[in-house]
Amino acid sequence: MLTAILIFIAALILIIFEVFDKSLVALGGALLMVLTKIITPEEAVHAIDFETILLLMAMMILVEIAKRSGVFDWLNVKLIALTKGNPLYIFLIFAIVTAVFSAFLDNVTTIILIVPITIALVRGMGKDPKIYILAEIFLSNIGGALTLIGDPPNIIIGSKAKLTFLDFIVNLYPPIFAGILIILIPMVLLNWKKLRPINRNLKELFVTNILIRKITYKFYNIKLSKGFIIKSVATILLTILGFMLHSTLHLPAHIVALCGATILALITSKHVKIHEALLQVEWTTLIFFAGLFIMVSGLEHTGVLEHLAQMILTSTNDLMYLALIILWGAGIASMVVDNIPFVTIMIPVIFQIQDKFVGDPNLTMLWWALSLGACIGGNGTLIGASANVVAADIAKKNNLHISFLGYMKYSMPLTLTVLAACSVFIVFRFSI
Amino acid sequence: MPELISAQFREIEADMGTIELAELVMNALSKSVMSFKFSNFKDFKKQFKSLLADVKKTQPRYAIIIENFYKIWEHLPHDIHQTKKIGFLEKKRIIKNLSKTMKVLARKAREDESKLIENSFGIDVREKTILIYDHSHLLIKTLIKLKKAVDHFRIIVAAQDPDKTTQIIEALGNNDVAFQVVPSYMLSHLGLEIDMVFFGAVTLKNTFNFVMDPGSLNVVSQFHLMKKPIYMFITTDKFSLWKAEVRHSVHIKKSVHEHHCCKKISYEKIKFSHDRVPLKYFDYVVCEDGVFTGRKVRSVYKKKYANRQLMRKQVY
Repeated sequence: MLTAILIFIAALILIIFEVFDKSLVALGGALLMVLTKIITPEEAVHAIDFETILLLMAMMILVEIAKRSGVFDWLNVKLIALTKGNPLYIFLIFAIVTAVFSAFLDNVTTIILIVPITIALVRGMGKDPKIYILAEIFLSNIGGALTLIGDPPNIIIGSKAKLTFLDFIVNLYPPIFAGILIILIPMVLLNWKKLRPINRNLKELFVTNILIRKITYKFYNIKLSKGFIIKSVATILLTILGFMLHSTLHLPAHIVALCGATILALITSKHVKIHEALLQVEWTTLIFFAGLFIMVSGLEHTGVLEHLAQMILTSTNDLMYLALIILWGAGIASMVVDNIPFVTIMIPVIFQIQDKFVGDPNLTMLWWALSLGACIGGNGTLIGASANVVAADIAKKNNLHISFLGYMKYSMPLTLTVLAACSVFIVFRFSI
Repeated sequence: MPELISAQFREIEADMGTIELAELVMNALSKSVMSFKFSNFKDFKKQFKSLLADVKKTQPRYAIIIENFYKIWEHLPHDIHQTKKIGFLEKKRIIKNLSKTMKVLARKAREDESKLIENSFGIDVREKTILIYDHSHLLIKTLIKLKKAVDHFRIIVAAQDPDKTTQIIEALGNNDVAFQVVPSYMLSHLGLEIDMVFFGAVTLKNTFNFVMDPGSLNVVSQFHLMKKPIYMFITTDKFSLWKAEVRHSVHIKKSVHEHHCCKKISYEKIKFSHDRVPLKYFDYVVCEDGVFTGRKVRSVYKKKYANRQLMRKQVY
């Protein structure tokens, strides 16, 4: 048991301090679990949740092909025109669009699509883009929590707990919408001087309008294929529809995603060579997931997770308190460690807790608590989620430094408030 | 603010060309005025003047834009009360007036461009090899029209900044105009083959220097020494009709780069935005009013300059 714990903790430390790429660490940890005979090679292969991996891979292919059609650039240009250069509109529209995108696309992809254009636009207006980026980070993590495909923890939870795409939306929309308001309202109030309308200043209006026209011109100069865009949008919409109906269709989410990716790859084969799209799949992320599943399976074999479940179970006999413990535990842990390993560990623990409370109508609340805690907790620190790190990297490339503490000044109070709102939601759900 | 406007102008000019930049600026100004909430006409004029002051401070100064601002100022309605709260109808009238002036200016710019292209048909390019270097959109348009009218000439593009060279390649390629590309530092090998050199410019200053793409001075000097005819294509609305400030350098962009070989080498890379090239190096200047020699251009410039000074005194 001790070897398995040591391997897992060592891997976690190496991931936190980014000594090596996390995929290598997870792969190394998984191999060590096999080499030290904690699990057999067959058990290791069996431990990999291919549903999660295929779903992620299919979504990455789908988004990559759609990205090449220019549809996201087109959307950005339309959004810019919609804002009319009003800083408040830019702040709100881009943040909300980030949340919506994150619900259906990978958070990191969303950040890569939105943050550079935000920096170009806001900096071009002579303003500091930092608060805009922070809002986009926060809302990418919150928006990602809304759907089964929005954030990797949800993909894992959905796959293991057999929850549908609609289950996530129907159950999580109240705390998600509340979270969005909790983030945006104080941010607008605190930064009102930077966000107030510029329509009384001709110079600022002029610079903004120049910038909008420049971006629009650049976009319209790119040769776009209308057919390619239509095919991409139609396939994305069909895939989302497929996710919504996947329980009715009796098709698992990963098959729906694979259908979407394959159909789009086939109908756009004239525009995109599949091997080029496959090159953009984040294979390291998929390897990370596979390695992690094996490591957690190793821990499970030693009975460590059972001990953890027992510890949580003995702390209280009340399911509502257990849900709150999971929410806050996941939230706080996700602030400092990658939320994916945490969720992967917690899944067998939650199954054991559910075994004890068989028949309780609120059993699924544990999954929602885990999902909300893991996704929203990621906002807490700059290293809490991949989207945060990527956004900070993009900012740095544009000579904009987002410091760890500077980020936390906003993130910590806002994340704790959103987690508190989620607690209210859980208490409310248990009381009805 | 002037630095911000400057940076935007430079980037757009590099992407689109000066005339297109001027059009974009007019469009942006029109939209800005539409959204602008001003309490009275005095406030509007004050902010417009302040904006004009910033536009005049850009590096380089885009004459065509500054002139357009002046013309808009000249055509503002003068019968509106200065300090009384502006009503909806009055604001509408100001915007209408502004749009009308802008349309006239845009039409004039297009007409001048067409006239210049027509004048270029007078140049004997048949069976000649023409070298181009800068990414002037006007020059490219002229070449495309010339190619359609007189097919028998060869174009060599001297490669410069990769982005600008790509723009030339795309513009010519998309219009099915054949060309060859040679790095500008290898031009000495083609000296004898080249019959004429074509250029465009951002502006002509009152020092009689053209503001052009960086590296232009090298190419112009080389072919001037080889006594090859050098043509400049520029409309007169791009002339800077004010006294040039004495500046020793154009806009300089410095950035730190890293090179990875056996060890990491860090170095500073310096880029200049424009070159200043004396008018005297050009044999002919093709304008909307004809193909002029340097001497004639000087006299046209002086006349326009004097008119502008007179107008400026009348307005202010």
